[in-house]
Amino acid sequence: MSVKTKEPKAANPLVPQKARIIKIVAETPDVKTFHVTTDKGKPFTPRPGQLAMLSLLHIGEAMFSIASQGEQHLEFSIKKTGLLTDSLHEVGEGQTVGIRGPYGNGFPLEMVKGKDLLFIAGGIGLAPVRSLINYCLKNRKNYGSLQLIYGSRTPADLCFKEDLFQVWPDQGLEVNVTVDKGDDNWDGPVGFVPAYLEELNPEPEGKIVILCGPPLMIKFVIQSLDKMRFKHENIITTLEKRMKCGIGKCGRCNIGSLYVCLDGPVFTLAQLDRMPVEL
Amino acid sequence: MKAIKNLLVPQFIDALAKDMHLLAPVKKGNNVYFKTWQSGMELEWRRNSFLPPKDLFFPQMDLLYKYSILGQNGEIQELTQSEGPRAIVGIRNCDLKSITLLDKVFLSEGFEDPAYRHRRDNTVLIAYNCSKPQPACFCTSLGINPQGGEGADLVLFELEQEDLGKEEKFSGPGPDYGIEARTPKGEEILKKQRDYVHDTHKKAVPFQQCPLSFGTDGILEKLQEMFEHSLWDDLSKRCLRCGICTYVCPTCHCFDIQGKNAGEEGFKYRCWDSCMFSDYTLMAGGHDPRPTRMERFRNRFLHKLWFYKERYGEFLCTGCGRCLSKCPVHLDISYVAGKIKEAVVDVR
Amino acid sequence: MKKIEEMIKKQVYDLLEKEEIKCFIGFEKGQLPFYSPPAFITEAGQIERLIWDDFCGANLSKYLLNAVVKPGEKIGLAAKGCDSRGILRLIQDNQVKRENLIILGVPCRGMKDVSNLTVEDNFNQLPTMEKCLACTNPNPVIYDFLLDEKVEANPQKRFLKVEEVEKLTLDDKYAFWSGEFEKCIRCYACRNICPACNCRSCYLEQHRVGWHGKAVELAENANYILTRAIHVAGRCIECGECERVCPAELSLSTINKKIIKDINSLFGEYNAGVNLEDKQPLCYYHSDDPDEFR
Repeated sequence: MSVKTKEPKAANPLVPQKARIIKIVAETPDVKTFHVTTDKGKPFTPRPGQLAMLSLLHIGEAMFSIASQGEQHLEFSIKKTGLLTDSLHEVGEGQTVGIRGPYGNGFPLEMVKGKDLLFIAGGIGLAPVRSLINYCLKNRKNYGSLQLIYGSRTPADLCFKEDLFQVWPDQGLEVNVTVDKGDDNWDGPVGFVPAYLEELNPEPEGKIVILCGPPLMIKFVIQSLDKMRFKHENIITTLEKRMKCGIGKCGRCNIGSLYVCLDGPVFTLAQLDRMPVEL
Repeated sequence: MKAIKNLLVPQFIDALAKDMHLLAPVKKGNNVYFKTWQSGMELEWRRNSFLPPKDLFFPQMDLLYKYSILGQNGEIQELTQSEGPRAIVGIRNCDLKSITLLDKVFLSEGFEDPAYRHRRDNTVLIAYNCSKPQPACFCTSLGINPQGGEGADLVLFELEQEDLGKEEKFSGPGPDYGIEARTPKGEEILKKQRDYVHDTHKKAVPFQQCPLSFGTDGILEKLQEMFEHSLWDDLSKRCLRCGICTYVCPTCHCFDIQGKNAGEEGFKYRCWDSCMFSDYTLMAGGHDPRPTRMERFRNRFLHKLWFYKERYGEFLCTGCGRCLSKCPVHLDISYVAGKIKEAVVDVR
Repeated sequence: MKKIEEMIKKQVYDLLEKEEIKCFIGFEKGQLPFYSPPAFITEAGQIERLIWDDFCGANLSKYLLNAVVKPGEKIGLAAKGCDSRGILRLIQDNQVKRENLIILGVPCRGMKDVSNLTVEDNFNQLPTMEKCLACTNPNPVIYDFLLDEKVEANPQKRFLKVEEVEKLTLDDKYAFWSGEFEKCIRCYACRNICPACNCRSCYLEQHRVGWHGKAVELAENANYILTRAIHVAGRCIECGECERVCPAELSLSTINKKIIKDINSLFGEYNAGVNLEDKQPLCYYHSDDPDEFR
């Protein structure tokens, strides 16, 4: 095979741009938020809910949801769960990374415009939802009521504490937080998300639910939403799968004939009901 | 019609090989491979190649980029293909079709694969129309004309041997080959090599029937009712979970991206992957949406007979028969399609 | 052959009818007349699917590794000499229990080679498989019922290829093996069919540890093939299935047989998977073991 090298200009969609981690925020004992940029500024401008492939060159590459973005950078909130994420938690500010994207459909901004929105998230599942929350708060007048129900295992495991308890409530998001197990300093609600949801008993009329969290939580939240008569067309969720290419070619992230990396990761529950789903 | 005398075929190929990198089917051991042609090699027409020609456009291992990492600082350098023009002689119609199916994956939906594109644009396809199917062939079941030559630049086909006694047939030089240009590129080659070509009134040898067949009518609609069917459990018991069927399949195109480090440097490559392997859908943290052989087996056949068709409009199979002849336990798509046809669907 | 087939059907019918077994693993007719793939029979009504002919060459024993049996349930299977040695391998490695099996033993005269057939071949006159011409134990070594008379072993080709390669110069050996390893497409069929490769989780799939890369190149291919050879050293039952299933036709048995030949000359004649009570030579240390470094 004759191979020659060429200046990187991402002609091949599988080749990442060189980027740098410029800031690292420890959110919880096992979640850190990484701010990533390139020499030329923000690598690209994603829509809320889109994904990017992030890599440590000598370790590996994986798909992450883009939790938020600034003028000059993208933010990824990453939980320690495997080879790459463990290594990411070891690196410091200034580390070179590879980045390619944006991938996926993102949240349906047209569909949610003008509606009351109920965000339901568990654990690190708040990361993709955060991109949409920030977008809605930036364009606050375009939406009706905005409410978040968020849960984690313990108070220490709550992500984005500053957003939850200061920034978001000030900007017009009603924030309801619960933990599975409290501690000495916790005086908020204790219990699982589905039970808390039923207790808060939100009105389904004119409301769209944006749901993301661990599979078990999603399963029970859906049962609760069904009880409260939310329609599946009005429940939006974002899925995760093992991915390699990000562009609908390498095969593995399919659900039926759709690729989560290309046609997803955001689907309505009504769409998923019609598909041969393996979650 | 134009034809090449049997004995002139190697010289014709020698002449082509002067102008471009030429790949032709030759025997190595008992398997046939598309190999770089060298004068004096012996062509093997009787059997199709072990690995499909997808290997020539989407190689089992393809380099993507190299990198270096020094402390916190890294560099990325893309690696690109710079192969010159080439020609592949002896592609059969099943494999020609597979290339159009792979085109839909690698050259569509807003993301073009540059290496694949480069190889496609720089390759002349010289097809070999079949007259004699092999024991495991079933291309006609997938609507493929084994003598159609669709997508080829040039087609070769066996001509009837006239006025030959039985003895001569065995000891004689063998049949002459008809040759037809299908594209301007093909015309050009034929014009350039006109010394090897003569006019003939002989007819092409007609195609004998495929030994195997299965019906595809209504299979997609039926499969949509069969996702939870017990058939998948029953059939997958026999499966060894190896990667043979996916690797010898001319249309299977799943890949993995992996890296190899050597000190401060390394490179990333794309390599074939198989949906039968246990790490294919395994996520960090240990969750696997397709945890057992049943789900993996089911996904492979649904991809071929439902998912790809729903997405791109055609079945992801060309009836080449490699999965049947190479599967150690003969668990091939014609068998599975037959079982799907027989299955009773419980309509609730 | 027809007689054996009838006996299998009758036995399996009885065993299923009396609910003595949950499932029977045998052979059925495949897509083509000369293909006889493995079959799983769970109801007495399905016994007509079972066959026995010249093409039942696959080793069925590995399927036992994934057969799910509840306590008290049994599995039946047809076993040639090679299948039975595979079963013994699995019993010896504590992967299956003898009391969970009902084995129908079938002495074997060698099965036919159906690889690489062309339409010109007459499938009634196919050659015997190479692996059968190297077989030391055509008779089942463990069984509950024996369905035919025992046959004489004639392993004329057992070490033929090994001896050929041994005669090569060092450079020629390297060239030969490099040529073989280069052909590997890393489908892992040899591992998946092998009764001695019975780890529930293979080192190959432990990507996190990174024992093994996925690059398809000489070094990684050789690493895979040789690691597997060492892993089954002293445990290979010589069924030759690795070589039969290999789509790229690597001379895999030659590696295993070379190791067996060396073990035999170093520690005395030993055939793995023949006798449950035999001590495995590579599992025991003796003070008079040959020690070239001394």
